[in-house]
Amino acid sequence: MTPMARATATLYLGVALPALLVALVPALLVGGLWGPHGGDALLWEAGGFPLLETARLLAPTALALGRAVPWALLAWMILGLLPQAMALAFLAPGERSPLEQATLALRSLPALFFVLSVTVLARVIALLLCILFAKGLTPGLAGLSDPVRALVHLPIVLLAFLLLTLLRVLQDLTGTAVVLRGERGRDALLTGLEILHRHPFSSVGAWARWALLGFGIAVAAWWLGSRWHAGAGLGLAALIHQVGLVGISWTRARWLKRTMSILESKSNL
Amino acid sequence: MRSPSEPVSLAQDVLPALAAHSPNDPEDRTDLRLPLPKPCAPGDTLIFQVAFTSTLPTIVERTGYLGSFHMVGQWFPKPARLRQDGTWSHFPFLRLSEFDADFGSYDVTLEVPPGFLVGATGRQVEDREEGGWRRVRYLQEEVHDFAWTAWDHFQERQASIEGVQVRLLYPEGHEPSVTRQLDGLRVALRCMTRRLGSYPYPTLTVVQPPSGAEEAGGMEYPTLITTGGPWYGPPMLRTSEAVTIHEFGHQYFYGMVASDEHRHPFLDEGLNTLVEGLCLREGYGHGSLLAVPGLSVDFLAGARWIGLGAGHDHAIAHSAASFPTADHYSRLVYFRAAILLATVRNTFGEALFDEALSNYVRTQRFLHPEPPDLLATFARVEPAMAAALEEGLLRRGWIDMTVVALQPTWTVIARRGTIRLPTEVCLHFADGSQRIEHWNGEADWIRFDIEGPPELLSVKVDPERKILLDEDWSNNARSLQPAALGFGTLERAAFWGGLLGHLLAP
Ligand SMILES: [Zn+2]
Repeated sequence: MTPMARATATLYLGVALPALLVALVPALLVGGLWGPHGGDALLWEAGGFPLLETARLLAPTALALGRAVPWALLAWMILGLLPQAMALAFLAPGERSPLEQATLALRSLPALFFVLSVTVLARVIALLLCILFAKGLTPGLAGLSDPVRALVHLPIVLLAFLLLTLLRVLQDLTGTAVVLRGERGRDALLTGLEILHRHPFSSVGAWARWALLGFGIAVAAWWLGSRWHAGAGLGLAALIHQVGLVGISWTRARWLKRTMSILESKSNL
Repeated sequence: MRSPSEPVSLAQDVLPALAAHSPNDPEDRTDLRLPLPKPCAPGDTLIFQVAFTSTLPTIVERTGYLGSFHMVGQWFPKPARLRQDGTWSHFPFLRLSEFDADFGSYDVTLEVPPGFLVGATGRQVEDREEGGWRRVRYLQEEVHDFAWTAWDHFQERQASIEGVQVRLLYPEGHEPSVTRQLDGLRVALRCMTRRLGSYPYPTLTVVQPPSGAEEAGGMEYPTLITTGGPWYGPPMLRTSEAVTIHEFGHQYFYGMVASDEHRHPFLDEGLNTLVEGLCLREGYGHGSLLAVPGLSVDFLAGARWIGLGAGHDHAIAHSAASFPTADHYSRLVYFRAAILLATVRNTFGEALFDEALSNYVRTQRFLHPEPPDLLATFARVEPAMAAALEEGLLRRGWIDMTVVALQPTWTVIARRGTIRLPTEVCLHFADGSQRIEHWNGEADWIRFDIEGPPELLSVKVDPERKILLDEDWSNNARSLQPAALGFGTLERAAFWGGLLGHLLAP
């Protein structure tokens, strides 16, 4: 197995296994409701009557479970550090035994956690600032038509998107600096910032290429998979969907590999 | 009838006698009583000449102004309607309640500043500038209200649909939404003229209020409706079309079939919400509420969710003022009524129901029907249909079909609740065969004994889910080998969870 294949598999399992565990919750609830009806295939009936009945009957349960969602998302992000560290260890140049790779990944976790905390906080602040800015703009737009008002807000949305993208790229570059060079969290963040500062277009461009490909794969898998819902088609839909998730994992692995070459070639310029 | 210019022998100033007259509401000044100086005998003619000033509020509850936008409804003194039984139909202007009035002929001249576009009930017969003002005159016969709008920022679009001159007035930039409203109108006119009879007026004006004046939207007046929704017309969601179809439907249920909206709001809102759902499905198929790849949601599926949300806390057939909350009012009067009607239509047969509804609308055109008129029309077509409607509308009726027991050789189905409906029971056998049994739903429960083999494996009552009013569809089946897990749900949730995981991944 090549390092790229191993990294892809790690990233895939890192999302697919938790997703499967989480998916068991609605699957069991729905099984409880529609099991006596012969299963949940009726949920995708044209017109959506049983689907909305499921939502109606499970709404109180969903609301109760919903209280756990923010914590679950946070836990998921933190747990996601492990597959990321493993993938980076697989992709790092040089010969290492599996034990050495695992050690490298585990040793990087505290710094990766620090980087994650800082960048998540920065995202929240960036979004809040954009929302405040948009709200401050609203009174001045009273005389404009609705589409023009929307158009005025568009740059703010783009700005928010750009800020989130920059933070995402920063996080990935920083993560690579942690694993590849053993830098501590703060030093790695400075390294990432410096690269972003010196080469903003090439770094973001490289990220965007792989991210867009991943997005395209996601849409294609959704569209193709939605054509088969139940019965014999269910296996096919599952195959398409899971292949899609593998494809997205591959684009992420390719991007992580790319962060290494960016770091190698540009950090000491 | 005498014209106002003729000499009036008994001309008299009656205004001093005008007094507030709102039962149980001493604060109200919208319901007034005017005693006559002498009784008016049968065959007499009364002519009122009224000079009045109407002060518009900022937009609140359907009417008012926002900047230079004006939506003017309930703006002139309207005589109460004398009912068949000799009582007056009168009530205050309430938040939830709508209106009731006699049919009449309206001849209205409006003067607005130049540059204002005007839309109003009826057909325009005059439009000229005079003394620095724009003067427009509208005429309409056989209507029971007159509303108008004026704004110096209106955009205008005209179309002819099924011979009706349609005029749309809307804020700048709302073209995408207006295109969808026009499409909705085409669906509505085609669907409703076929089901309910012709639309007899030559014009229809559709007004979309600007942002900030949304409360004026989604309202019906004779030959003039107001709509709503975001300027872009949300993709995949049929809300623009739904509001337009609903408000146009009121040209039948309220406009022509002029039931008392205050006393019997379900007669206009409930029937209209059903027809809205049927016409949306006719025009847009199963995705009449929402359509995305792999998923379609019917308007009536949404109506079921909302309609069951108030349980049977209160009977549907109540006056608008008597509901405990606004939430109860909308859930029961609009949606529970609509799904009850759809249930009766599904279970007794679409043809029978449609015939009865069509008879009701055609015989009550330009009249003021009451609930017994509706029930009598249905009873003439099928008495059991009328009985089910009566139970559901007048008496807090409810229904929940349930499989209460299943063994290899017998099963028991119960009809919980009070509404009796014919239904089917589908028996599935161990050898893979199945048999449909018809049950008239009269008894509280029914037992099926099987002389196997093959023995019973599972049973479903109302397998096509025709009973939209059924309180819980999940208890409509039992199986000796139920599936424990929703595999389709597992598959999809695992995929979407995986995508989320990639999005969250550090
Ligand atoms: Zn309505």
